[in-house]
Amino acid sequence: MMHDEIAFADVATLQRLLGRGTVSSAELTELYLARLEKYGPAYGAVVTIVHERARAEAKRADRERAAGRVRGPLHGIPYGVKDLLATAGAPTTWGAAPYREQHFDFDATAVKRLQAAGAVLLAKLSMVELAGGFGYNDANASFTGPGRTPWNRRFWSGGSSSGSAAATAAGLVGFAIGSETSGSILFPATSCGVTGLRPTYGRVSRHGAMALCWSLDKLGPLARSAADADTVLRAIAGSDPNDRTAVDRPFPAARRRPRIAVLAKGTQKTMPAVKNAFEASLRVLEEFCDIAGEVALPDLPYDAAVGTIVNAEGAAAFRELIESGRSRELQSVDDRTGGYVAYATLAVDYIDAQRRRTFMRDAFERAFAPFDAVVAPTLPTVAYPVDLSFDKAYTAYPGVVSLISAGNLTGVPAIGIPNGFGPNGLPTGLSFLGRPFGEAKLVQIARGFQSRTTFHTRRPVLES
Amino acid sequence: MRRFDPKLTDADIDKIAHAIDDNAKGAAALNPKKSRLRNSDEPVTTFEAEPQ
Repeated sequence: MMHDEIAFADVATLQRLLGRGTVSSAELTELYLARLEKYGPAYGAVVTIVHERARAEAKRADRERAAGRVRGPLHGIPYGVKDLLATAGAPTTWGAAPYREQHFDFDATAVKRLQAAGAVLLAKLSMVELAGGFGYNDANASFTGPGRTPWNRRFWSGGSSSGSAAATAAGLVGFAIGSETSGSILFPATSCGVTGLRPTYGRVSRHGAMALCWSLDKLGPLARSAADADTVLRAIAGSDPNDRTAVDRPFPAARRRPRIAVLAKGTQKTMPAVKNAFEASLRVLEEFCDIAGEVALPDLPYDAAVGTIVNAEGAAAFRELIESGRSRELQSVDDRTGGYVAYATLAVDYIDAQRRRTFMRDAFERAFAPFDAVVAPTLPTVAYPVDLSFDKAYTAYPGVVSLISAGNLTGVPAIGIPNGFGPNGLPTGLSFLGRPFGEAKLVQIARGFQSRTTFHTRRPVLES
Repeated sequence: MRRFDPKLTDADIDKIAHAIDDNAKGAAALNPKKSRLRNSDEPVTTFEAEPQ
């Protein structure tokens, strides 16, 4: 295989190459380190490359393999993490200038689990400052500059797990870890044309991750296939004494032909390319799923609830930053004042939003229980332009319904995959939303789709 | 907010005030007249007496 082919290979292929001795983990690590150096800055994807740690972990992986010890499917596979996960020996900046010198002396649980699985940490990847909690309205919202999608540098890589998605799409890492409070895995996965898996709330420990919103934050993989995302999720999942929300739960797969509902109004006011790709995707899904017609999203105030909850918890999480006046140092003009807006959230509104979540969870259960998944376009458009504020881009295509706020409030899992291309060579995406702890069924459906399509295997032409 | 950042301009303060107002209007949707929360409807985050 050529270097480029190796760089863009999925985890299972990389593991086969390692197993055959075609390539060592040390060689793979050097390949990806060189690509991170060459392409990372051009796409605003990287904050810190951890050369020494990467080489040491790769050497250990090769040594163990030579001695006959292979820890599992991630043994020797290089990866990156969103720069909100604590890692000893490197800064953890949360994407924000006030924290650019911040250091922790421990690894986040997810990083520890990947190390235990034999994976090789390469880099801390860029992100929207404070994971977007202060209400940014344009792509230039990180102290590393705007993230850019590898499919077209004039367009944003999405947020807030910008670097995790872009680095995966550009073949700078084998896979990456991102986080989602309300859209931060699914959005960049779509903009960059990769697979993003948002787990059930409580599936993965957040210990060592920046807190934006304790009752919504989740960690999950961005990968080049659904199979890869599944492999990574299984490695990082499980209970943790340091995060009381994290639990051990099995991954039950569907034992029959999957039953899918289509989200009603899901394609209304979406870009024509998004609608066309979605309709073509349904024809692919019909080959191996029962499409059970449309289902409406229960009519509840998802956007108001998620905004109120993120504002209230975010203001508490960053109270010290807000009260210090150092919000002024943030990159986004809107983030510099957004913390004060969040700080003024009424306690009664926050409590009412949390009271509504019970109704939302129960309404979801009633509406979606008959199905293995509900499918919809992930976003109404392709990636936003880097040089235009979000409220001025694509004003004709606001969409009508979105599973992102609703899915995050109810804590259910979702997987986002690429399903086509639209204007300016930019990817479109669709998402499957599942039942609590039903990630395996979502992966099964996404794998079925990816076994019949090639959108996830296409490669962008990179500029350095 | 100027107690936290004395450099905030009048335009900044105006922007903050409008955004707070917008949020308050949006939050009205959390408890609309057509489906009021009842006194006993608890929030999802509840206190546990036993330490973990």
